[in-house]
Amino acid sequence: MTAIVRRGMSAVSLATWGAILTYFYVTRRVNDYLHPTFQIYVFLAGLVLLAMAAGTLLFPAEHTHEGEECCGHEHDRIRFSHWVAFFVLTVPVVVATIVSPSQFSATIVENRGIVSTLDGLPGAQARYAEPPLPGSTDSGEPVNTGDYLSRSADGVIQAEAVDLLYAAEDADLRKDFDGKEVEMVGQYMPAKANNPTGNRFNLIRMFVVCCAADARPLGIAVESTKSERPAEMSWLRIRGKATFPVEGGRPTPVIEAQSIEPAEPPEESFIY
Amino acid sequence: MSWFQFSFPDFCYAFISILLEGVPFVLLGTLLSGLIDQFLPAKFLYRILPKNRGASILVSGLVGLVLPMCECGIVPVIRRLIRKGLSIPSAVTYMLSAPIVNPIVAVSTFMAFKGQSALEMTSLRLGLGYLIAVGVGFVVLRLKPETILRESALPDAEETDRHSHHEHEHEHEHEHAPGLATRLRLALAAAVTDFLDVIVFFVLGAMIAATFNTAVDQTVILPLALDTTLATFALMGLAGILTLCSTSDAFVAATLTAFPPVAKLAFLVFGPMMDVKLAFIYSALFRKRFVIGLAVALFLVIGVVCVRLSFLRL
Repeated sequence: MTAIVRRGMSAVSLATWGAILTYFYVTRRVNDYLHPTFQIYVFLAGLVLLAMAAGTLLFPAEHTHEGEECCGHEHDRIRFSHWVAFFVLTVPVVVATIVSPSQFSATIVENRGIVSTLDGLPGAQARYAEPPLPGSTDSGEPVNTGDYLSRSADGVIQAEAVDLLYAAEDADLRKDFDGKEVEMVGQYMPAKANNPTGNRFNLIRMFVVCCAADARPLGIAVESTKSERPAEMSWLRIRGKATFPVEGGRPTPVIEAQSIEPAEPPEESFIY
Repeated sequence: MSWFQFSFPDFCYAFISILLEGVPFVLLGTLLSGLIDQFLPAKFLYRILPKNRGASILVSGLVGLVLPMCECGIVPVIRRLIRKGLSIPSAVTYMLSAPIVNPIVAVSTFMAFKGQSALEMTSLRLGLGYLIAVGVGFVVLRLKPETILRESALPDAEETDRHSHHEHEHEHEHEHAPGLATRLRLALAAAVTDFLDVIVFFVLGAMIAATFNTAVDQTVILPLALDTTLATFALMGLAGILTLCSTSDAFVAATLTAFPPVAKLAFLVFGPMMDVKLAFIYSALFRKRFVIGLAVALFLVIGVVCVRLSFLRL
């Protein structure tokens, strides 16, 4: 294999990675894969890789200590054969980029188990300790917490799964939701546990610490008299009354659904 | 439900997310390695590290406090450092300790475990991580370099390779003091080589990790939480397949409330030192037999030590 072909393969590999990383960032598809903290690194890495690809093509090294081209010849120092390495570097990442649905299936939710209490929420202990929750001050005095809640145009509280899990653990915070009409967007999953009357399902949101690989499904129970059930992991907008019945010795968030509609996935499908 | 259900779309999704998270750090490591190659004087490490090899290992275990590196980016860095004169035991010690014994991990572990003996858990994680890394360093001290490193990574091979350049029939003048532009270009070339070398293994590791990450029913280990020994080894196994970053794994470990604290400690010490993705990345530098031996030794030693620590009331 000539040095030129080898250099071309390196440049194509680098350009492929650079283009894919940049593509994920520019199209905001990265939102479905990474915590916002890490997203800018993807973009910067993409640009650097594209620059490295250009540099590899335009400025061939005259002398390196790594066994590439040197003195007009090359030393074979790569462990895999060049073509196999080229294949591994380019094909899987391109195929996965095309095939990846940008969300997990119901199998993953079942494999990881639905988190329905604050104990299973990554980072909950840290957040619970400080800063103080909206429902209390450092001295423990209750305060008016209504201001922090986001509402729809018609004044309905827009709740996240995390809000209701925290509310289940904190009496002051619970007052902001208990018995009030809330709206929540999430993905449908049947309730295989904690379903005493058989009319419940789970509304799921994926909670991410770092990237989708560590995503944990948070589930809020929804009670509905409708017998018709949507497809697993389809996105729904639920409106209903937030309740916190004591189940298993602890308040458990349950939404008594008044309306259930199909919904578009939110711009950021994860919660953090 | 079967404990293993493979779904290709789920696999692709997890695979891409692991790549997007890890590649920037691998790239950072390879850029650093290129700069080390061209700008770090060969004798620099001899000057700053203790001459005594044992003392050098002890100090190397703490270098992460001032030069923190994540587990994804550290291999290309130590490969260059070995070529710049860092002893192999010290390099292995730094490689294993830096992803744990560093200020970012200390803060994230403390924050994640607030309300769960955070200070004790953080201290034990960093302390045990340091001791295990140093212990491995002292074991490596007794091994021959050729039993540890791949042939192409041996310092002697590198030196031989460099000398051989001057013996070619078509020899020509090499610049002994190249200018900044030339050195930057050479640093880029070194970084490109290192990146392509390491990323091949990273891709293979990410594929294995994504397979286990998505296909294995992680709830099957929950019954093991009742037994300290089984729980400890089960969580190390989980760390091995989840391939979490050491800066954020504590937030996941803290949620494993059904498991005893020592099992979570084992998860936090073993994961940054060895997982399926790292096993492949290590293979870019180390011999396969050494990587397998390291994985088994870390699994057993960390597991046994953590089980023995179960008398601690965390």
